[in-house]
Amino acid sequence: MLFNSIDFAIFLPTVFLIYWFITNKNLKLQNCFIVFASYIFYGWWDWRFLSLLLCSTVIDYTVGVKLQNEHKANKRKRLLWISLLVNLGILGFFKYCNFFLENFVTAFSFFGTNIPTGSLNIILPVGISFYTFQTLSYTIDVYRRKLKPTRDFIAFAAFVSFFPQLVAGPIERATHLLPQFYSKRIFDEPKAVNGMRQILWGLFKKIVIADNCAQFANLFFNNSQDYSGSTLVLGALFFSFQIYGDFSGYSDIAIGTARLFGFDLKQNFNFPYFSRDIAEFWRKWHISLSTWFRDYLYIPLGGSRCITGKKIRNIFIIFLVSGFWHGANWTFIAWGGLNAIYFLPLFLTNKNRTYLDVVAQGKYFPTLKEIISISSTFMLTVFAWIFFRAENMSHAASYITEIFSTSLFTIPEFSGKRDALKVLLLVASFLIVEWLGRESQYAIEKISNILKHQFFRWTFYIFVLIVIYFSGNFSKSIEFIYFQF
Amino acid sequence: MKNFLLKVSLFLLILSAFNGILWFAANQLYFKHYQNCSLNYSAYLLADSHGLTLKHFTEKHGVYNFSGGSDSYFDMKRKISFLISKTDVKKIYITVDGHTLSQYREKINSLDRSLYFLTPEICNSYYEYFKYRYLQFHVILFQPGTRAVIKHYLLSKLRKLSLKNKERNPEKARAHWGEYSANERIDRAKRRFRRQYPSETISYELRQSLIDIINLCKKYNIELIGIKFPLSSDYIKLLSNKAFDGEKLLKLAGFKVLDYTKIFIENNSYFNNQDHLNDKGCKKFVELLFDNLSKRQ
Repeated sequence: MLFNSIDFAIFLPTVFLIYWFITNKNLKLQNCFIVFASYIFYGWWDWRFLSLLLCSTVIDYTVGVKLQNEHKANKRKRLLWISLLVNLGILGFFKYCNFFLENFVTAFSFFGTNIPTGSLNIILPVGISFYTFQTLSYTIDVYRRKLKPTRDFIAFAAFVSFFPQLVAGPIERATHLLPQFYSKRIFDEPKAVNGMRQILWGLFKKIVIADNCAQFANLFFNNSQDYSGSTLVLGALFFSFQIYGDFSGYSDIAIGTARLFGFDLKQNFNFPYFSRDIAEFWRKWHISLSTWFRDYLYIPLGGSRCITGKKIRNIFIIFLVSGFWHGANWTFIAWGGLNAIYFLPLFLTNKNRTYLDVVAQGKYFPTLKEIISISSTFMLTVFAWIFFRAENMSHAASYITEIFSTSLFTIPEFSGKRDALKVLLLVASFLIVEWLGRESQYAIEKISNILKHQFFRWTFYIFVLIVIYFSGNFSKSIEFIYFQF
Repeated sequence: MKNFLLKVSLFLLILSAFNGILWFAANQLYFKHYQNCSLNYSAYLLADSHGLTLKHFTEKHGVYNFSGGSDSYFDMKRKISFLISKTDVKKIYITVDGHTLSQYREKINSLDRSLYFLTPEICNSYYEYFKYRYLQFHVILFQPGTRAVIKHYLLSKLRKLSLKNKERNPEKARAHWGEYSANERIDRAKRRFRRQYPSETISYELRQSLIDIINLCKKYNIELIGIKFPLSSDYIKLLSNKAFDGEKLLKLAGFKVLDYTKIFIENNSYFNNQDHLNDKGCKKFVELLFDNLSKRQ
């Protein structure tokens, strides 16, 4: 079920009340109920995929237990490989099977050999990329002896299936989330209030920003041959805000929901569009995924502690795999590759850790230099998003070609200009609020510092709800983008 | 926890009050008259605004006009299920105009209003029925269509209040479509056409709904008669036989379709605009329709 649906509006309070009033009696009951509610949540899309979730859970739990008792290095490695093969095998089959089949056939036809084949009608299970990586982090950490394996199957099942972050992250590490299932959660009112505030902000980002930008991004990308270069630039801009509002909005709702149940999830977005260079952007965008690749792929490959050639290789591997994780399409690989090219100069000149603080910290306005850095970094990411959004490589190429034609210098022409302007104004207002709140976990986290009296805070929340109601886009057809990954 | 629940309850109370205000506004602006339905007939007319303009003219022929502005096949399916459960319906006249399977109708419809007529029989589960019929129907905050109507109303009020509004004087009322100049008629017709046919692809969801309607009527032995409403000559020229062929589905199922698209092609005085009849045209059309039907019998 979607977070912005009536089903979730019924599900969440029901689960909340049962969790805190009935199952609060003991820890086991609390965890069992989390598993039960999470399986209902996941099964709502398609109950058949519960078996995959269960399979991943059982395999990795068993591997963890066996790793604890196994001391021989080769046998430990074998156990790890079982987990890797099963999890990545399932992910590979559901997500990449048709991609490899099609490219295999294309490669052979290039050499004049036609292989008769059809594609398999495979439905991609929602969230498989997320929970697969989450369970893999557990078995890898147990293998590395960074984490003691759990003997509590229910706690582990709850960790794997925890519904707020099951289908679109944040991808939690076992070292951070699993211990939270070992002790009974006690209701914390400030945490719950914080959670609800974050849910509200997440809904605003999704329904007002992302879904309104989506209607124009879809219009321009789906009919790119009909529009001028200047209009297509707008399309890329709209998509940039769509994907940010969509994904960071979902993360906010996930983190806020987890807080309602007494859990802390890690921040997944740290105002990435205010980054001063690409390296900072990648420290602030989809943090849970980029740190996962850093810890489980980049560092094992040697990271930056090797010769220059290998460093470059490792950077490319990380970004290309990151792109490929997003989907079985060459466009995602191209997007990853482009970001690697952006990142490499900073990395090779040791300037990839220049900006570790908050931009214009403690100030209202950035400096001119910061404005230029932020704008140029933003434009680079917008350009890369074209590949991410395009249907295929030829679509991306034709989109970019049209942008860099003489029609770039014409006034954008399309129907619905007034509505587009309204959306841009909404985005501008949103960016101002985000800017003012950039030193917090999410923009309105510290609203109580500005609006000290509860009356004024509630007025603000009601105002946000009214804006969501009147300015939001409630079209059925706009789903969370990251559900397709 | 108690303090938290108290705060949440208070907040929900405020939201409920806001919902109440919206409910009142929605009732006045949107739901009024839509829920009216006489249960004493055995024949009903189901259409969108094209049928709504016929008002009560069909009643003297024993047919209740159950049309609603912007009604889609999603809404008509709910209404038919309602009629089956509440009346002894034997005959349904249903629109099969070209645009009824357009994607425009998928987005612009009366799904929020027709929730009133939802029955458990056409829902996948009782949970679904409860969710839509009681929760979504009473919580205006969950109704995107109603929201659009209220928003439009508020914006039009703001525009009227605006001092800079130079368009205070309403457009001069025309008695009928023929009073517009030829260029005006073409412009208006083109705008309407672009709105009704935004793409070449039909709405498969609406198509499925029409198939469900056909199956429902077959199951309950209801005679289904398809009607294609009259269009002005300007609009017919633009359409140039473009249509999404809902009528084919009815014909394949063995039901008859009556095509009156061109009956007033020479007579713009029967039209309010490019594709809606005025009162004079409606009365004439109703006479022709039932005269024709009685001859066929």
